[in-house]
Amino acid sequence: MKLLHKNILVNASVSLIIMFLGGLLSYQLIVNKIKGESYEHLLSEKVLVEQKLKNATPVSVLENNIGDRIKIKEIPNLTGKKPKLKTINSTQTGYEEGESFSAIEFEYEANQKSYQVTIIKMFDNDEELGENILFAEIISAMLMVGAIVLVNIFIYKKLWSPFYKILKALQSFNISKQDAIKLPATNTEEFNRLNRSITLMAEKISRDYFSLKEFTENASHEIQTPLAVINSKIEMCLQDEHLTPEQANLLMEASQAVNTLVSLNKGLVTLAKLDNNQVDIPSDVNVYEKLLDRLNVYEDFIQEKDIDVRMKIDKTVNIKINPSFSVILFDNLIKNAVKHNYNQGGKINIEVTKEFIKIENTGTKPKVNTDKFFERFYKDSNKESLGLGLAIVKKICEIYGFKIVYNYASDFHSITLYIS
Amino acid sequence: MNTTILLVEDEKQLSQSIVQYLDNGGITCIPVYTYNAAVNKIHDFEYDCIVIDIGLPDGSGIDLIAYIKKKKLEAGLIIISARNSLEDKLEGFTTGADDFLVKPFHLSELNARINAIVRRKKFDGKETLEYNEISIKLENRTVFIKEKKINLTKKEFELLVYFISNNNKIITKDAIAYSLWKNNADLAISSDIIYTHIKNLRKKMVEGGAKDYVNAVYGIGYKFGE
Repeated sequence: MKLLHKNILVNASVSLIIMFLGGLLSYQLIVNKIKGESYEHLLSEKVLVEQKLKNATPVSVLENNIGDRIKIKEIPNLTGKKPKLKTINSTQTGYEEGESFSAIEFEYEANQKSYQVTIIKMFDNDEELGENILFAEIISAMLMVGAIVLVNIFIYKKLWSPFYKILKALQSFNISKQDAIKLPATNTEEFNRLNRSITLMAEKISRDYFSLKEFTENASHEIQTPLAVINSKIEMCLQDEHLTPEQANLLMEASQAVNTLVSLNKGLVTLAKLDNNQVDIPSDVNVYEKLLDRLNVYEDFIQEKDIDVRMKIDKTVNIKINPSFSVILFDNLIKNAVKHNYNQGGKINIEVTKEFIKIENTGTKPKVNTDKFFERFYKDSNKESLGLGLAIVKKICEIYGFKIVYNYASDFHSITLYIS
Repeated sequence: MNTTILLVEDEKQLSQSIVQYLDNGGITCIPVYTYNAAVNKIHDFEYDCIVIDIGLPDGSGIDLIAYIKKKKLEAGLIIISARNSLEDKLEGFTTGADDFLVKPFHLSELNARINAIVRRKKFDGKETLEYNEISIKLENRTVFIKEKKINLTKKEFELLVYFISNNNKIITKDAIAYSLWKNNADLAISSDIIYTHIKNLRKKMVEGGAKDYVNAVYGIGYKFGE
C-alpha cells in the first residue's frame, strides 16, 4: 500500500468516525431541544384549553381547532392521574403510517364536568428532521473525504516529490558504476538531511567497494607470481634424473594442488569480472553459430569419449549478450556436458527454440542435492571439478535475465536456459 | 641454433628457474630484474628474443616494448604477465609483442614459445625443424621421416613440435594439456585424450620409419629423446 493511500485511509476513517459521532451528538441535541420546545408548547396549549373549558366553550369548537389536534372526552370522575407527556404513533391518530407525535394527556374539571383531554402536537416531525440531519451529514462527510483525498494528493505531489525523486535515484544507483549518486535539491530540511546521509553513505560504500575490488584484483594477480615460482621449481625438480618414483609422485601431487589453485583463481576472477559487469555491451549473438563454433573447440574431447551429439536448433534464434560472455556461457555448458558424461558412448542433445536453450547429457544420477548445482564450490563428488563452472553460467544468466533450470530424468542431466 | 635471450623478470626465484631450464635446452638467457637494467642491457647484444614481465618495480613492461620498438630492434618479444585480461593482451599485442603468456606457466611452454618465435624471426617461418631422421617444415606444417611425408593431425603435429622443442626434458601431462588445449587443459587431464594422441603419434612415427622417441615417465609425463 502506498504511503498516499495509507494516509488517505487513516485521515478519512478518523474524520468519518468523528463526523459520525458529531452528527449523532448534534442530532440528539437538536431533537432534545425540539422535544423540549414542543412540550412547552403543549403545556401552554393545556393552559389555553383549560381556560376555554372553564369559559364553557363547547367541546366541539375546541376539537375543531385548526392547528394542534385536541381530543376531549367527558369522564364521570377525575381519576386523579397527573398530566402526562407522551409520544403517540400514527395508528392512534389516523395519520400517515410510521409517524409519531408528541402529545399531552391530562384531566380537567370545569363547570362540574370532568374531562380527559389529549392535545396532539401536529407538524413536529422528528424523523424527518433526523433524515435531514443524516442527509446533511452524509453530504458533508463525502465532501470531507473528497477534500482529504485532494489535499493528500496535493501534499504528495508537492511536499513528497523530493522523496520520490530520492527513491528513484537510489533505485538506479549501481555500485559497480563509478558515477556519484545524484539527489534532487530541496528546501525541506528533512529531505536535505536524508540527502546528505545518503550521499555520505553512498560515497563510503563506493569507496569501500572499489578498494575491496582493487584488493581482490591485486590479490588474485599477486597470487599468480608465487604460484608461477612454485610451478617452475617443481618442474625443475622433475628434470632431476636421480628422482625416485616416490619423490616424483610427491612432486606431481604438489603440482596438481598448484594447478587447482590456479584454476580456482581464474574462475574467481571470471566471476568477479561478471559481478562487476562493467564493460557490458550486449549485441545480437546467433545461438546456432556460436554453439557450432564452441562445439568445434570441444571436438577432440567429444571424439575421445565417443559422444553422440544431436542438435535440434532453430537457426534464427539470437540472444542479446556480450559476445565474450556468450563464449564463457556456451563453453561452460558444453564442457559440463562433456565432462560429466559417460566415459564412452554418451550422448549430448542440444535443443534451441525461441523460448529456450536446452543442453542435456547422459551421466550417472546425481548423488546429492541438485538444487545447489549452481552454487559456488558445489561439486558432486567429482574431485577434478572446481564447482565454479555452473556458478559462472548462473551469473551470466542472471545478468541477462535468463531463467536457468536443472533437471535429471531417465539418464539425462539437462540444463535449460529460458531466453524469452 | 645458438640462441640468446634477455629475460626481464623481477621475481628472482622465477627468473632463476627460467634461466636454468632454458640453459639446459641450449638457450643462453641473460636475466635482468628492472626496467632500467633492461634498457641498459638491450644494446649490449643482438638478442633473438626478449621475455618481458609487465609488472616491473620501476616501470611497465609495455613501455619497455614501446622503447624496443622505437629502437627498431629485431628481437622477438614475449610478454609474461600475471594479468589475464583481454585488455592487457590487446595492449601488449598492439604495442608490438609477438606472444603473451599468462603466469603461472610451464617452463616447457615458455621454452616452446621462445623457440617458435626465434625460428619465425630467424627464418621467416620457412625453417625446417630437424631431429635426427625427422624433419618438420613449419611453414606448411608437414612432417617428413627420411624424406617420406607422414600425415599427422593438427594436434599430433603440435605435439611433435612441442616434444622436439623440449627434447630430453621431462614434460608433465599438465604441460602437454595446456599447450594443446589451453583453457580446456583440465578437461584433457581428466580424460585419456593425451594418452590417445600420444599413442597415435607414436604409432604413425614408428610406422613411418622413425625411432620411437617418446618415453613415458611413470606418474609424471613424457620425455622425448633417445
